[in-house]
Amino acid sequence: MIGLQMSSFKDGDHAILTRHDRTKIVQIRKERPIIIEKHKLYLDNLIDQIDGTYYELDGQQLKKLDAKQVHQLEQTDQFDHGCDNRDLCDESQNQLLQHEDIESLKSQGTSGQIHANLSSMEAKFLRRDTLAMLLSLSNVSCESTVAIVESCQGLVLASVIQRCAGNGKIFNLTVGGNTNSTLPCCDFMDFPSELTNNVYTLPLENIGDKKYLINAKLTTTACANTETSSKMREQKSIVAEERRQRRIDGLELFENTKLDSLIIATKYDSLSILKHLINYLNISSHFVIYSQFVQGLLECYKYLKQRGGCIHVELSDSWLREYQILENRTHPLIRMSGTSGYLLSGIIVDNN
Amino acid sequence: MVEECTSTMEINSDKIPTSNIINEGSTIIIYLGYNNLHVLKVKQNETFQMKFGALKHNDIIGKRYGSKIMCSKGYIHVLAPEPELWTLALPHRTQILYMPDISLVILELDIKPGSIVIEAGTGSGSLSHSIIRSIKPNGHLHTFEFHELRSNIAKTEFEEHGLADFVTAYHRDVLRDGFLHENIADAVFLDLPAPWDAIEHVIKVMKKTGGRLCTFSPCIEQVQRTCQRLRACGFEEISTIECLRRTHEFKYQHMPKIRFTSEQEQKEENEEEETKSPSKRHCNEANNEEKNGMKVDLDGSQKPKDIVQMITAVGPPSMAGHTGFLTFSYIQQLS
Repeated sequence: MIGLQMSSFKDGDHAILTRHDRTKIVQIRKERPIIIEKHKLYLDNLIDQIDGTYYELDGQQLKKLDAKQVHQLEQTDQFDHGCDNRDLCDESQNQLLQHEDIESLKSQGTSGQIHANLSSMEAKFLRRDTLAMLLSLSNVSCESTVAIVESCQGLVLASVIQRCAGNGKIFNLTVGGNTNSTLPCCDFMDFPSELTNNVYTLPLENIGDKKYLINAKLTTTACANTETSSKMREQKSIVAEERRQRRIDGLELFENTKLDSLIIATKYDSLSILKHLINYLNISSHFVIYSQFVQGLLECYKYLKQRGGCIHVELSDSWLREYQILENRTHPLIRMSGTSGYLLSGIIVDNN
Repeated sequence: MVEECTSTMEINSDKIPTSNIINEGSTIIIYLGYNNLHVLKVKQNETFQMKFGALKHNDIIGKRYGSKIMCSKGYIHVLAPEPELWTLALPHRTQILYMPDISLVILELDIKPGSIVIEAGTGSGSLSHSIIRSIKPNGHLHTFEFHELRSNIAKTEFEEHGLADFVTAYHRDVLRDGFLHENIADAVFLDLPAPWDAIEHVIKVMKKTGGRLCTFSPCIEQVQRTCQRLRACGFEEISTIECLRRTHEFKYQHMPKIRFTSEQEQKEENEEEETKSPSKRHCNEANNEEKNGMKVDLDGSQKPKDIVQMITAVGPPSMAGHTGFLTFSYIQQLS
């Protein structure tokens, strides 16, 4: 059961620090300071501690708080503003004072808690309800063969890796087979290699190019035959060669595999990607396309309708509202996200 | 994917067979059209009557999921009882949870392969199917229902869908008797009329290292009582949300254009010029065509026969305005 135990932090792990409603993802490195809200601080005291612990700032170090202290702080935090504002001159001033009293920080592991990750990332990439729905509609489970084309900093890929847990096959199709675009979120998750062994990062533009594959294979055998001279170079070329081989194996595997799910959430033109990849989909497989704009998805729909062979084609968006629940002060939060983006989804079926 | 997994042995072995073939006894979903789905248990020599005529079960046996099956008055598609489709097609025994809420529950409770999850009540098993998809191949769902018949039906369905290895359905009143186990759960989901009365049981069943809780309640008063109890019991990160999904219809819109007289005059002027220099005329006509995106009549008739066609996404004129509030929280219990 990988990644399920709430483990303690190690040097090099990523953690989420929460302070009031602000969150920040940081990497724990011994004797290396980080800057958070203009404070310079060291995370050394997080090492060997379990996640979910509260800390207070003690100079540039973090000092662990016990449950009693945390409870006291929380009570100050929930201090009642009163039912009317007769005693309040300037509310922002008032809140500022409170905030200065409370200098507590909370640490959370990332590996055990994608949720915490998401809440801090959703603003930038995909809203949580959209990501949740995208994953459901893609029907991804531990047995799936999935292809992903995304520009969400790896958020979609990381979520799929977590849901496959080392089973099935994941094809991460990127421009040039570059892993940089999906690295950030996957990095934060500190995945053990058992979970990523089944991930193939492949150059999207070479999918379906048989000539490219044949040529690539030929150069591999040629390379293997030539002896390299210096040891240093050998070491480097071994790593590069392994990577190359992995890519070729992945491309060959992709050409010979039928997909169970296709997820497109990219800044590139979705329609041309859909057209290029749709024939790799098995019958009864699922596809989902995310876009911030509806127009591109309408074009995809036009194409799907003319092509046929897909059912349950749906275009949706969603509305998400958060509530403050307090005695006599229950109401929706003053600010909410106004747009979820759009999802186009469907099921591929036999068309004969 | 929820498939007709044949035996325990195969599921637990390294290579999971992706058996895509429909067998005698399989539970399948028949897709007749958008939002027109039927659950069917395949039995040899039987027929099923529907709007496209008679569907012979024998025509389905041996076919792959996703196949098109011809019937006497049309055709249908046969699909596996995957969670999304099952939620749309399942026989309702209670009010059920739909995909937007289900998806958020799975994501926010951090349910993934290997998770041990507690659910109360089982209801019609809509959420259960999605949870099971997420916890495979080595997690487990313990689902509790105080209505004996409902619990038994759900149990039978899990067996029929080949999910029995990943779920245990209990007939039990959790508010009175608790969850049977202690310190096993990574996540707990409560859909009960009085979830606040179950919080003590939740604390008992959660792993010592901590776990996540979600309660689903349709009324805000229920949420208030729940939150009050959660705070008193040391739960953290308490947050209440509501989510609605809107499906849009694809529609080609045809809209006639107004012929503005001022533009008409402009055109006539152009025409006059054009007649003076016939070589220019062709060029101008092409420009006009490009500008308006369609043919422009040069006969000067007043009929507004120019029509703009575009594909649009139309929101629903009426939709579900409320399902329920989802309250998430987290408890860490290190004593």
